Amino acid sequence: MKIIELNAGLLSNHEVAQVLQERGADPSAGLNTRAKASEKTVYEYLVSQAGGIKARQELQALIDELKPFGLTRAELVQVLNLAPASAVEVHLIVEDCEERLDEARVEALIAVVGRYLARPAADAAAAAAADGDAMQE
Amino acid sequence: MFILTTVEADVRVHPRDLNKPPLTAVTDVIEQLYLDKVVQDLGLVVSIYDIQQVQGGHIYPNDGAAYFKARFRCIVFRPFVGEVLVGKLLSCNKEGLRVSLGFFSDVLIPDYALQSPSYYNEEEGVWVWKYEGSDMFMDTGEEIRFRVGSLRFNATPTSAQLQQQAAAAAAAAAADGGQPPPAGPTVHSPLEVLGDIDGDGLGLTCWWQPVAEEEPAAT
Repeated sequence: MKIIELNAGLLSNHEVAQVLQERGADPSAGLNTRAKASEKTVYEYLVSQAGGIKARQELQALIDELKPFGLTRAELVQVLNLAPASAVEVHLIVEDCEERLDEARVEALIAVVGRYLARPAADAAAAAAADGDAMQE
Repeated sequence: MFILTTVEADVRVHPRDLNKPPLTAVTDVIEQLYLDKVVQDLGLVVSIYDIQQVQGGHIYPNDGAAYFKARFRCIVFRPFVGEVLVGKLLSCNKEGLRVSLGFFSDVLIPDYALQSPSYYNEEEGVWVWKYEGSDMFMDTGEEIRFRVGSLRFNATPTSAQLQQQAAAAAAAAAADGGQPPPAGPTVHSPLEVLGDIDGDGLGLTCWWQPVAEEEPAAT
């Protein structure tokens, strides 16, 4: 086999999940679909990630709103994948964050992301952390 | 963490599948050959995106199978260096952590890449991060955020290498004190992702939850 083009494009988790969904990887599609077991595992992982899986149109609106922040393609994909909800996470994703985005811009970025990508995982994790503290005490 | 790759490959369709339409037969063979497999220096193929071109269909003498040349695009799991990913902590040992991403379980975080200072708790078999005097335990099953440091592709060992490994394991166990070598074959990981959690925001996600007052909850 020959690799014609190693990197024809970087895909966000949402796009991959959509492809897998079309192949019938989500549990609601039943058993007789084109998707193999490994694809179902990948789909399960993607759905459990922060932000869940969003449709193309919603993502396009989010991408347009993120344009003024001047993120590189890799950073944009990471924002879509990770749905950062705190300044610490934004600093992890964006290189040289202090120089490119000041505090107000970071807050604005979090607000934009928060409007499109919900974080149910965050509440569950916070509840789990609270339970964990109670148990440790 | 996923990229789209264009691949061209020779596909052999077994004679029993020749009653299927050629595209379906070729797709089935490609899926069988590539799905959930690690391609050296590329990554883990997760799904086939589309088939762009199928040529050929020649049948050679003495072999009833049809040979096609197919060009297709596949979705490959190949995180880039510096990418931040979230997974579940699978296990700890004194060499470091092993993190799982559901479909991929060979993410290793070596001991030198943990938050400093961290130390290994022998009795409980977990790593602990000493943050401002309080102990942050890294319990298995917890969600963990890490940064990708490098990808390591391991070639499938030849049978000679496997014999050498078995002999070395037996010798090491004998030197240790006459105990029998660990049972079972050592699992070969074709792709290993080496990560680090040494930085703000990295490590267990519950450590960095924006709680009302200060962050990592202490006991």
